[in-house]
Amino acid sequence: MLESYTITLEVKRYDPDTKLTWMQAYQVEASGILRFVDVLREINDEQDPTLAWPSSCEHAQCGSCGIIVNGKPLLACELLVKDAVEQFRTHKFRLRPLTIAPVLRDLVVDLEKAYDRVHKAKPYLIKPTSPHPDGDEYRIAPKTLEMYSEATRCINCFCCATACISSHHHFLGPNATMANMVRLMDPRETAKKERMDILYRENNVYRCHTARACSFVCPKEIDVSHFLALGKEGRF
Amino acid sequence: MEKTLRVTRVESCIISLMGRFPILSYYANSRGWSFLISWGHRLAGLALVGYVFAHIYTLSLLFTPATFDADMKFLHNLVFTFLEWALAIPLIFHSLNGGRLILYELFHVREDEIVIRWMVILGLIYIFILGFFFIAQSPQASVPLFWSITLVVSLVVFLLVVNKIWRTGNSILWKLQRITAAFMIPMLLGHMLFMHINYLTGHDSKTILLRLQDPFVKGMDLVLIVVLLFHAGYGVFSIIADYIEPGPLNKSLTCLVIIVMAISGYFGIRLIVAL
Repeated sequence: MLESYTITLEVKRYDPDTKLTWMQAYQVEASGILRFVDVLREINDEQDPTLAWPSSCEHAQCGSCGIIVNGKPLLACELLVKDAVEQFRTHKFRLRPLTIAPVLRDLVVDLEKAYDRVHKAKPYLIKPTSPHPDGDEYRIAPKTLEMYSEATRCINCFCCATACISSHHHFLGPNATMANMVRLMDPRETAKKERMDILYRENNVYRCHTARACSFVCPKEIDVSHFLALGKEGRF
Repeated sequence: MEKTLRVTRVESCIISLMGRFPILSYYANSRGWSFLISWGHRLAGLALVGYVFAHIYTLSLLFTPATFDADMKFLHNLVFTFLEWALAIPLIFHSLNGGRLILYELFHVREDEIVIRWMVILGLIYIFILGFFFIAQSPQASVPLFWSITLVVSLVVFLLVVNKIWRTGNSILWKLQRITAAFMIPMLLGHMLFMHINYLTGHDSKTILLRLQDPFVKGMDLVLIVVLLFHAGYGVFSIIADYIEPGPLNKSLTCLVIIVMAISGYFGIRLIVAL
């Protein structure tokens, strides 16, 4: 028999038409193995069809369902009700949208605006090296790949950027800085000078103060602060 | 990558005790203890900036030794002695945590939890040694010997960091922030200990004025004030850059910080040279 929980979700609502913001509480009887996206859907189906939340793949791959639960930025598709009760030691949860971009409605933020920061870090090979002479593919030594493959798991959910001590006024964000670091460490990238110029801008690595909240909240368990520290150390 | 640390019974007691404070447990659960330590680092830094200004003001009273001695006599009571001792808490915390950040960012030390454990242990040892010095005074403490030992240790740490950081592509100001931090960690911790091993060293106008006649001590004090005000100024600038959007307010506050630090530096240097 699956354990069920009576939980209360206090959701920060926002109506773009009236520009009103308010907190609304929903009480739900939920099975422990339901995820928060399932609970939100249940509320949407049975209690309040106007409630909006972000969601797409619901398998922790697209990074679109990031929200803040009791102060912690996380993916709503990964958080089970029983885990939430255990982790936060409460049956009451305060849900807020991420703080890295303007809110469109309720828990949905403008991810395009958030992605603008990542684009500034050029998350692609600016000038790829020519292919390996023995074949079409470019070969990367496993040892080299091992140094940065963890960082390639990033799905740009912006949980790290939301948790960062440095706010968002002036910092591209840990994920954007890490996207640049990955290409700096990638042997296929030849535009190292341009990459270093991006890294050592005032709005980039200097805004990181090694508070390590990024590593703490990362849903993909990437040690983000490790990669940012590599940038400061000049080890790439 | 980071090794997982087995938490001792004492540590788990401390963590659960701290977890009883709602604000601490909220951020510890949602952002991690390192996040709280970083906030502590900033707040301790700001408190120390305030203390530096107060210190320069108090020492400026040395121009009229009688006023200085009267003020010191007024402050020589149990409450102020306790406050003076308590001031070591933000100093040791900011210094050791600064050391931890340098180890993490520049020396690739990723065993952060172990470093935090040592930070707490060394911090507590320092606080108790300082408390012991407050109680057991030693009038025989030698000024040149103290400065020489502290200077040697500071220079070694300074050179290690310079060697590590200088060739990286980081901005010069950021590098200087780390370099000045490395220099000041042994210097300020030693300074605090020495000033309290003998009460007269830091509280009697005649003793202070005599000490400042030594060109070596004068030189050290001059280096220390320049390094300290640069480090403090860049720290405050960093906080402004983090939380105030680029624009007129950001620029005005940055200018204000530069002006305040420059004026403090001017008065501090004038004071050391003139005395």
